[in-house]
Amino acid sequence: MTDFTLPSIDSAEWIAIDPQYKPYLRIKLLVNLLPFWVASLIAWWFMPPGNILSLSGVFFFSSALVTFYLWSYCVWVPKRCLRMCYLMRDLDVSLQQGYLFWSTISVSINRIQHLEVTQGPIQRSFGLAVLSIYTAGTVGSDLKIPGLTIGEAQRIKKTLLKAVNLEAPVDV
Amino acid sequence: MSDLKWHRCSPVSALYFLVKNIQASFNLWPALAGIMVVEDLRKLLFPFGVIVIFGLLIISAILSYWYFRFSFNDKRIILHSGFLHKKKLTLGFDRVQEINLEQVVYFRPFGLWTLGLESAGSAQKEIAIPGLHRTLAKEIKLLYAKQKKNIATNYEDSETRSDSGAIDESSSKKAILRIKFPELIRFGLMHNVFIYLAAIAGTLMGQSEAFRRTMFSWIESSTFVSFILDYVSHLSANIAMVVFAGIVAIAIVFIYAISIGLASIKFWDYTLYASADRYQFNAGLLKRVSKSFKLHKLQSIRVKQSIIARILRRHTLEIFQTNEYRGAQNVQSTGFIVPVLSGEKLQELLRDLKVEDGEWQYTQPIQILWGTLIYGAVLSILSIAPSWYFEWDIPAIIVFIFIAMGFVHYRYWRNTRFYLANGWVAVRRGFVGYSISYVPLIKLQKIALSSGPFLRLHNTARLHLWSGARVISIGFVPKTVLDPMRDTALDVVSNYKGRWM
Repeated sequence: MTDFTLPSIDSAEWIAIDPQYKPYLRIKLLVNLLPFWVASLIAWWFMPPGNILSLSGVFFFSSALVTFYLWSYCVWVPKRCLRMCYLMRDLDVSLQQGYLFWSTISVSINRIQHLEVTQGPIQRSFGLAVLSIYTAGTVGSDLKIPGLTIGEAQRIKKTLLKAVNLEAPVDV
Repeated sequence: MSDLKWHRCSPVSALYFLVKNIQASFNLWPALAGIMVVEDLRKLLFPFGVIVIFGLLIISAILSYWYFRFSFNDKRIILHSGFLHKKKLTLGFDRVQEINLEQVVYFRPFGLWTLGLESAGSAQKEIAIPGLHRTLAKEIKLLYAKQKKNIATNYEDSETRSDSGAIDESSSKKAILRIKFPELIRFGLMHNVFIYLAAIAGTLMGQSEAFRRTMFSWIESSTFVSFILDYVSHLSANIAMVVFAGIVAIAIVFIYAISIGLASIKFWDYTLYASADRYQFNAGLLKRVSKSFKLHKLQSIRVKQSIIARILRRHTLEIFQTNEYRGAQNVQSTGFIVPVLSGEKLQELLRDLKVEDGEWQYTQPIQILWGTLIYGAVLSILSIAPSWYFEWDIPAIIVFIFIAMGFVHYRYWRNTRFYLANGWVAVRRGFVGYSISYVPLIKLQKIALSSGPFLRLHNTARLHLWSGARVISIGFVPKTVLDPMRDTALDVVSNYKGRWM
């Protein structure tokens, strides 16, 4: 293996995402689970009356959804938000995330194709946005940093755009 | 941004958004299937539901048009779009790979066009600006062309000025490989999908009662087949077996003959040329195909050897450029292919392509245990129902499954290796044959190090590397090995300032 000149990203100072991401994630999960609750209500509505097996199935399914949401609310969301952080260096951008499945994702600034700041309606209500960094790679090669305030997302985007435009082409 | 002039598309572009929304709504067909089953919901859908859905699509199209604005200068184009989910997209012209104009039928009466800008991140348009008048579209195209010309001047790259993609007769090209008919026979033997399709088709058709009835009635009506069967019935059992084996052998030879024939048509007179840093192949009997690439566009190389190729001591080499692996419509493309070459020729070509050797490392053997446990458990659960139905010995089936999975994963682990050295990363996998993926570090787009609870238990992790063409990954490697590998790869990519595509 060759010696590398950049310091390891593990020793760098990572920046945590905005604290508002935690309540946003809780609301978003609730909204995502809503169609399943509605589906179980519709199933209960159209159930033939007196069908104990089907009614207990609907009850079990709804209970499982509630239990899953409570677990996510109390365990998954806080732990996920605790781990999620990003790193901006002169030459690369990295994101660390995950609760059970950890991952550290890095993209070199000279591979950035374009940048996007997106804000869904729930994110807007929390003042949050997602910075999407697109590369020239195949499926899955983009990097999305969630949990940024809209101002921070725009600032990082401007910084990255400036860095991308400053790349000096060199004859190799 | 304040000095930028913002443009709107023509109101007719609402039609474009409507068509896009209708196309997107086709993805909801599984829900539609569910609704059609329930009578009450079906009555609700027609006609009331259809009117409501179509009304929503029209409102969405009008809002999409209203909230769609774009602006551009000599360096980049900026899009604002979306009403619920707002998007602000900035694309520099230096990142645009292709720019084209299209005119759909409903734009023609109004003289409108759709401008498509494709960056290297996908095989489809990254930006589509619908409903533009030709003059505005051409203005944007001109700015893009000027920007490209500036880049060409900076890189002193003659290819950008005239990129016909071919080696012309006046350049000093050299034929480095010619594939004759005997080699094409080998290729037909190595890559024969029909033998697998025949086996699958035979099994499936054998399950079909209608097929069996049709076969029997054909057999009864065919004089020749009836004669053979009558003749065989008078033979001893051993000779009958030999005759039956002969018939199966003839069928296999026939299937392989088709495969060889198709290989010959596709790769007839295959000649590989090399000229400076460009490679080109010409091949084909009915349709002569010429495909070329420049060395700096190489994103990934794959070398394969199937079980039959191993017996024949031949290999297949494929070279992928940006997004070629995925291709259009997410269909895999074979890229630039050298269909069959000997081991010696393969090493020569890899040297020409500047692939560097490295010291192969193994992954941790603990992956044999986890693979066996996980796949064994899943297959055991799936086998319980059929075992109970057919009254098989369930414990014996489960033991057999775990033993088989143990063997399979051991074999898989033995054939899995990797290295990162001298600017290249390589990952080898296989069961009986093998496949090696080589990626130059300078072509990497994204690097990810991940670990689930099982991997963390053994202080191991998985490294994923995305190039412009493919993603390769290697798991169950100690984190102490993968961390410096990740840092090395990131350092090489970040510090590389030359052209990489």
